[in-house]
Amino acid sequence: MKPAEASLPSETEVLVKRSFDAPVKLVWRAYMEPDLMRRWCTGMPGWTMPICEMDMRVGGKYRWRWRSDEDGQEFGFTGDVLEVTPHAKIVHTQIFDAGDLSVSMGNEPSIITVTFQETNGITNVTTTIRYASKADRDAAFATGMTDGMEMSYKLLDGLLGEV
Amino acid sequence: MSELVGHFSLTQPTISSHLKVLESAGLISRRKVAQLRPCMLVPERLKEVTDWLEQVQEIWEGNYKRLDALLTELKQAEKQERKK
Repeated sequence: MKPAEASLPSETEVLVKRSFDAPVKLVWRAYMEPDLMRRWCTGMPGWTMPICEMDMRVGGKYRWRWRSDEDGQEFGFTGDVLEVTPHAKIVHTQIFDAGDLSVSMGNEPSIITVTFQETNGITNVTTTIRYASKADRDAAFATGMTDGMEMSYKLLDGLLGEV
Repeated sequence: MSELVGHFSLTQPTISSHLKVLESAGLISRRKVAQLRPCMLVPERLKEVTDWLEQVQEIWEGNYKRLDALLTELKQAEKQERKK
């Protein structure tokens, strides 16, 4: 499958697209069942997802928390489920909990919309993150810069260690 | 501006509004030279945006590769289930 594709459809949105070689009912399960979700949604290398609680019904809540193996630092997301169309669409709010990290992603919840669409056994997944304002998106942008840089440095450290 | 209009099948006001967005995002800078407002690309700013998008992609792709593996596992489990 082609790698994930990220774009900026508007001033407040980030869109990520990816296809999976599996029927939509299995992809849907991987997004809906906490025990499956925590196995793949671990984010950056060296992080795990010790807390993954989800009540994926309209009005339900979820709580995700990640922890760094290296130094035990934590951060997370929480939110409310707004819309669920089985095997097709999920919409939820998302509030960033910086935990031990000294970063900000704005205080207003963002809205996450994930769509699933199967064609010939291939499932296309789109994720739209809509920030409450351009300022919030720019804050996430600044956070991404530092996280990404830190991650690159760690990868570099690892490589240098091997030389 | 007049040079840009020739390159696209868009009206001048449409192009003008796109340029305003690019300028407010810091992706282009504009000067005033007599009646002209030449536009210049700000490559550093563009690079910041594309670098960030690449980082977003990298993190998501890491998740999605693990999801690929999990889905393969789920597909096999289903096959086994059907055989029984």
